[in-house]
Amino acid sequence: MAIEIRKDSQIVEVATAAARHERLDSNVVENANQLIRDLASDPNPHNKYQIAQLVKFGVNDIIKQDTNWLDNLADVKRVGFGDKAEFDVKLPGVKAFIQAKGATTPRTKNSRKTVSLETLSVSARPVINIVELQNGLANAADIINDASFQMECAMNGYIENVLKTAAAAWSAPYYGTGSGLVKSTLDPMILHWIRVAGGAALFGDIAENTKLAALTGFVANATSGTMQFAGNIINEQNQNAVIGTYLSAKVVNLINPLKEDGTDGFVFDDKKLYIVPTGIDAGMRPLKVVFEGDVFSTEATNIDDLSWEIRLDQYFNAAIAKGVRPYMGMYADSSV
Amino acid sequence: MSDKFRVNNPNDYPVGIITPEKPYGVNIPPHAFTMCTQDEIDYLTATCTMFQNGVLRLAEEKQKELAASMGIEMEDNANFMSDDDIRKKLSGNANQLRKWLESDDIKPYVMDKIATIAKTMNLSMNKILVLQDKLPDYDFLDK
Repeated sequence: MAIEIRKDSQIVEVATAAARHERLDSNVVENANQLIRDLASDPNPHNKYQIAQLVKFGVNDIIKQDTNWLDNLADVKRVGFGDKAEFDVKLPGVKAFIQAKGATTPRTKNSRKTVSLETLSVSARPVINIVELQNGLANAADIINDASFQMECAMNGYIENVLKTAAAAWSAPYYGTGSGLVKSTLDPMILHWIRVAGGAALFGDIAENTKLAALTGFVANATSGTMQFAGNIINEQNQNAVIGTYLSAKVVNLINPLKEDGTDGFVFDDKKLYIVPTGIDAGMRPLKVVFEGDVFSTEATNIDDLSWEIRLDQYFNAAIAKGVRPYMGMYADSSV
Repeated sequence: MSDKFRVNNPNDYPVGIITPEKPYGVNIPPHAFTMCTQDEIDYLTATCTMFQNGVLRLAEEKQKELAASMGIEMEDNANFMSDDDIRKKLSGNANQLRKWLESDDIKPYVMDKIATIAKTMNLSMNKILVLQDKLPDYDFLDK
């Protein structure tokens, strides 16, 4: 009987969990690997398509979960293939006027504009030797892991670049910079959102977040200028390398993997701190991200070298639409 | 006591500096300044990129001296231009404008300044098209 791999097949769950290096029963993994070997041992078009489906579903699951950070920072829309996402942006609207009694009041209207985004594709094209897959020397979990990681890195890097390039052109209190984290520059930017939205959260690389503890001190002796820190801050910093809250804002570490380009660079800029108001509707966030459809796959075999390749694509794009004001802030640490 | 120099923040956003003499940091509000010694300026040029990028500036002669010591060519460099200089550049013809916008490593906050100034000027449609092409995030027809 022909094997059909679906989105909710157990083998997809097992391969995805294996790609995430989760703890799994060895029998379950062996059964899943055996199923892939069975498919690969008879490499007819149907079976190869099923393996490609398995990789596609696995990559899709991982990418969806790992790009969850965007739900905290961006206005994310997921649409079907061929559909267009439209983002509503509020423009300066109704105004009130002081005037003489009986004078004509200028008309103003509540206006909005709609921004739609064309999508780009993030793609990966893993290639494996079909004989290695038959013999179990290459396994699907590795392909899923590598492909999803690379696609995720490329996509996240692109989205962050859109955000930080635009944010660097904003003015106070939405953008600030300093030769390190400077309390008197950063605090007004956070306080702005606490005042306006009722709360804020700070998102940044651990290298930046870890500097926040040093800003929590108070000058205990004005003559010597020595700082005094609360004991729990010192303990928290020692235990976690970051403090959980700064100036009432929750501090969140962005998971920042190393780029696999031979350098020691990270996917996210480790010198940026994003200040995100927590009490506002996600639709007001300036970073707009659209995902068109799920990950899709195409596969082909090269009879010259017995290589079998899968092309994986995810359509997405990101843009900034700020309307009246950008409902977030960015602090850039300019220290080297 | 060593001489102190004005360190200007010509931007629309605040800039913070930390030096050994200002260990808790000092905020320079938009379009304001603070006073720093030569040692502090040397320290800042060694530990951050804000003088190199034109985010922080010194008074004219001192700035030229500092830029020369860092090997930075200030002439025609958009990152170091005053509003008047940018206005002059925007008054040139469309081809020159395109060449200028393409030639420099213009920082995003300078691009914003260029866009803001351009919106206050009565520019020809040719130049607006160049600006719209190079700065797609701004709407130059909506004043």
